Amino acid sequence: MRVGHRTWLFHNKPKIIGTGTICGPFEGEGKIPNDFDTIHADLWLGQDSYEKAQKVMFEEACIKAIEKAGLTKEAIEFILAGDLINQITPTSFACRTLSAPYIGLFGACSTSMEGLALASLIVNGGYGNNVLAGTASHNTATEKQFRYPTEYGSQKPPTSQWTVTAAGAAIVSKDGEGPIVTSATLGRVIDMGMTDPFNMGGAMAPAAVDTIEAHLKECKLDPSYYDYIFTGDLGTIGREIALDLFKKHHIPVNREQFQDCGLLIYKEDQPVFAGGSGAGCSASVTYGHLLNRMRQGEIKRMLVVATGALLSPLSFQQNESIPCIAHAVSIEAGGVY
Amino acid sequence: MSDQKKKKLTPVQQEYHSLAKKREIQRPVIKNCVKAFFVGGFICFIGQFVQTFYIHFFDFNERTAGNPTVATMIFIAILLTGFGVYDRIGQFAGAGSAVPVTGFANSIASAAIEHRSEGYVLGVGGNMFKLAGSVIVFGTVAAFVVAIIKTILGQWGGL
Amino acid sequence: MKKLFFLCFIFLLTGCNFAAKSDDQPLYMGSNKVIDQTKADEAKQIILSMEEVIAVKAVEFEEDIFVAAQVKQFDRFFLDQIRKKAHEKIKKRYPETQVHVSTDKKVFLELEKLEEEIYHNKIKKAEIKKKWKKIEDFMKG
Repeated sequence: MRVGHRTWLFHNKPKIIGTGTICGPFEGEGKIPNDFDTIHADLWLGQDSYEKAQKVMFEEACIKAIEKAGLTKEAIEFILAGDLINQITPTSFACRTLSAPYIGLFGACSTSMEGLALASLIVNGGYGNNVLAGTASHNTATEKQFRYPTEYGSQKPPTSQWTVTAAGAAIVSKDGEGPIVTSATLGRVIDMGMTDPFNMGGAMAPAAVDTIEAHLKECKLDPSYYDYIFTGDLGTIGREIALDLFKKHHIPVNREQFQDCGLLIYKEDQPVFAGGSGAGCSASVTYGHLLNRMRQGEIKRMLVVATGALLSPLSFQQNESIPCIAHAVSIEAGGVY
Repeated sequence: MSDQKKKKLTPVQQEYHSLAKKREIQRPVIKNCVKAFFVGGFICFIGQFVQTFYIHFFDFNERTAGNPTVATMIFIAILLTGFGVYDRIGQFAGAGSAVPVTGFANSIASAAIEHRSEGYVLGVGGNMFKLAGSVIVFGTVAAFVVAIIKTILGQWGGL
Repeated sequence: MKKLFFLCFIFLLTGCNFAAKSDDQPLYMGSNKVIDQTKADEAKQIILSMEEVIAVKAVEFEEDIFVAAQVKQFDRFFLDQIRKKAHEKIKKRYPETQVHVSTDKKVFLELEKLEEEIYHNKIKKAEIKKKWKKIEDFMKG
């Protein structure tokens, strides 16, 4: 059912019955290594290119999720996934081995929640029983795509963010037990005319605030309804700006309640500048760390808002501004664990 | 941002820009300059050391020692790039490690390493000068312009 | 970090002071060698009297005098003029000889070696001739 302009309420309780999270070595040294299913010590994952490594990482995340859900590959009816690399090839290639109908998504770093929202929609509408949603990002593959070669000695400003090497996949199902996806609010493309590709947080913050505001308004909720509101990868700067915007728009979101996946994944002393980013960041933190906390009963209700900067290396070289998007998914604890 | 660019923005965007500006962490320019000065100076010190080495132990005088010195520095920079050290030096030193010839070597080597997965011809060969190419183009153009100015002044200015 | 930079700065200053030590005493070889070196000795004195020069080496052979000077750090910006000035000074004293002035480090080193060898009478005329050609090449560079 749709409420308001762009919020879906899922009455049939689509559940996340299995998740798989894989990460690279740098994330393994971070704050939440225990929440990943597999930590790879090798950034190459034994492959001969970083793109292939990302493909393998996503495959592993999918297989792990299927395994943990107690299903077989054949039980997966649809795959909704995407990533950041050229024409989302790593994801598409990974889906060769899964042989389920596949819908490729692109929402930059917001792909994770875009996938989860659509998967929940399919399951809620009765068009599928087990739908897999997931995404992956690889630090060096993304750097290669969007910035300079990885070994190039350029100085990054303190506003830049570190792309996470991680993959996350979740299986949304009609039956089974797990956290329930209760609603989703889809984002509009918001362009505040920011042009600095090294300050993604600053560009994405308005999109996140817009989506959160719409979600709360359309569901007629107070921010205190949620134990936490997690943004995808705003980083320190984006988070501060978002908090400023909340204050300006008179939305009572408090500082402790408003957390960011990009800040949860790394330790403070890791050289990640303003925080983590990338499609795999929100996916792996949400499906790993956050759902684990939910299973432990620490979080009852949360709103995950994955933010994406819809730029390409071509667009910012042509001096285009950076349009951004954010998709929110509300996940609530339910059932017995 | 230039004023012309700012004019294109809507009032809402301008308002947001001023709001976001406050939260943006500024680059520590003076600290970066000091770091660049010392690291850049240190790289040149190593270069000087190599040059003195060539003068003392091989048959080079000051002018001819320049070529093997540059070659040695490039070789060291490429080794450091391959071992994944140079980008860390670059993050610390900024312009200090980018301006000397080692930075140029790094820009070529890093691009070559990066695009190795696309094959030797289109990958390495085609992308090697991705970053260095513009340096070469504008370096040549600048040299040409300066040479013309010098010639004109020398011929007619009597300098 | 700040302290470190401060220390570096101090070292820089003192480093400059060390370098500005008084002129090196040149090696005067005299006339009783394989080749008479009186002209070279005098040339050394002339050149060393120049303010910009801190050390000097010179050797004469047949009609030539080769002079290598080490120039003070900041005066190195005017190497061309210094070479010209030094050349004129020696030429004025010995108009009939071929004077070659260099500020190259390599020439300086080579002349230093040659001076030592001549001083200790370790070298024969033919060998000097061979070396002379080499040093001349370095001077061109």
